[in-house]
Amino acid sequence: MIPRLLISLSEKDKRVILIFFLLIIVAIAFIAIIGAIITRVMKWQGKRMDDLTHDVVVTNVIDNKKDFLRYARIKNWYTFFKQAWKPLLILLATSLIIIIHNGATNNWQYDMLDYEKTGFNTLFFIWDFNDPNIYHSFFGIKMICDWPTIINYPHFSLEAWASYLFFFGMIIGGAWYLVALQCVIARTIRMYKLSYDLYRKSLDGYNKYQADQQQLK
Amino acid sequence: MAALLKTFGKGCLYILVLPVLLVILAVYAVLGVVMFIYILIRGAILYFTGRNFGELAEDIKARAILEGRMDEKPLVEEKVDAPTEPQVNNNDYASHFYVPVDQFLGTPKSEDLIKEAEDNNPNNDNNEGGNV
Repeated sequence: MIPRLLISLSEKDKRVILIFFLLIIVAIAFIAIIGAIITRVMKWQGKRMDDLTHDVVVTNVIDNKKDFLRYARIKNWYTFFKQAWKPLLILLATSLIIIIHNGATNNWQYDMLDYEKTGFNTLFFIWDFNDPNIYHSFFGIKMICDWPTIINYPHFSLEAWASYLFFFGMIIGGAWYLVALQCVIARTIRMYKLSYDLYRKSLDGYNKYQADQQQLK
Repeated sequence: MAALLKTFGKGCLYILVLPVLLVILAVYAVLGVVMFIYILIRGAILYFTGRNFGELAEDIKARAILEGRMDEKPLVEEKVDAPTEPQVNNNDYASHFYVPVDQFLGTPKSEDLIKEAEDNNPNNDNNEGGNV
């Protein structure tokens, strides 16, 4: 005999479950919209591959798939180099600033995540998520049920100037580099699609007898 | 409703594929740095040895072909053989200014003189019909 599990839910529990599922649906829909935007942008970025390979294809300098892929791959990475040298330079410069700062002050324990004096977290609100009073057990799962206390308000700290430079340099350089990466991936996808479309042999609509008759004419 | 379900399905698909996409992005990030360093070193060597960097042999060939095609195109269009009879084209700009010789002069010329005029200037280059 299979034991029956009786679960009794209060009104509050039912509301929490409903809100939970609604949040999940909204989150999935939001992810779908973001994904659709990224796909569209990548299709637009991939069109650059048409510009890069147009002349050699229309002049018939390249007339087979293998040479096309070899040529397109080289042009793709050359274009990536032109796009990515600036963000990589920013990333390198910010890393050098931190290394030189730590070397000059002889302080290799410089905490860039600190929120009191030396870190970039001094610029943000910091909440105390380690307070056990804000958590409540729900079906055995620990869930947050109360607003945590604020332990840091945004303030400017002169000692944290290197952390600020590092943080903003990494954000700008990292985002710029990711865009360049997205472009190279988009162009790679377009490259393979073009190599298939341009050099595909197809016998659709070909009829041998009609072709022979036309030749005789 | 169908659009909503489609959006929901795409969202689920993106969530499932997200780890694979992140792995691909991480691989390309590392590959990007490696390719950057490789192209930088190769470009520096080519630059200091006086060779061209960035333009491939195929680009040079394609440019030569395109420039050759542009050179073959004539600058002046070849003249078509002129018709023996004057053509009256009511849609043409010049036809607005073309008046038959006999109408312009008011008195009809002899057929021989008309034929001689047309033979000498079949295209009516001097606009002998006169301007209105």
